Amino acid sequence: MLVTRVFSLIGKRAISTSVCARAHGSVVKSDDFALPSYVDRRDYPLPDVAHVRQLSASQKALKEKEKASWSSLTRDEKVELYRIRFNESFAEMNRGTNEWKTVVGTALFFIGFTALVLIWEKHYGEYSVESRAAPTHSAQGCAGRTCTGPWSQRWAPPLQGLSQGTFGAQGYGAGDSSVSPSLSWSA
Amino acid sequence: MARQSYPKCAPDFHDKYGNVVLASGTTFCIAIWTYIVTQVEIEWNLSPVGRVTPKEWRGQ
Repeated sequence: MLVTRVFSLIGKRAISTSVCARAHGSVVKSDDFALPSYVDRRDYPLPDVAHVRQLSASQKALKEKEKASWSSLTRDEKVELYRIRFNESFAEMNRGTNEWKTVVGTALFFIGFTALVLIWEKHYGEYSVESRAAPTHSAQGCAGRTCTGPWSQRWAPPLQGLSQGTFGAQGYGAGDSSVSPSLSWSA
Repeated sequence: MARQSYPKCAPDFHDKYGNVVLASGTTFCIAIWTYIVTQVEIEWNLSPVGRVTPKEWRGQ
């Protein structure tokens, strides 16, 4: 009993159930959790207790009329008897929600936020154009002929990803790009 | 047996804002990614097969 009670508390349907509670004495006091309770569950079609426990005067009269021949009941009285016994019908308890719209919309929003993060990284981050500015000749610590010539630059793999758009002679220091031993593609 | 329609007596968050959240999220995602793919110079490293033509790197 407690398990079904917990399930009905976890399920979001319980929230709408409590919101849609009809004013027919379906208030649950705090010490009722150990007593048999009512649940709207597809796999528990006949709950242990009726939905409405405290009947009004008209409902009590209706229950008395129910003891007579049922053919004398009008359609509205039959529906009222049903609503005394049950809170939601199977069609009502199984109704779908619009939760998927919130979920998909929020997911797409955060995917879009990722693009903002990438834009920021490109502009300000480690891969921005400013961070790739070539250091000055003296800052390299060049001495002699090691700073010029075909071996002045160590071969570096082409920069990918957030770096500048084209492959090419993007070395890590000032150098003669025409002799840089990197591949150049025409795109 | 006639079936009465039982209207939701209290629309929940998803009923009220689901369409707005879905439409705005989709629009924002498509717009920002279109911008980042086309306008921002990011090397997406697409395959060069069928796209680029190798050329002599030393020049002739």
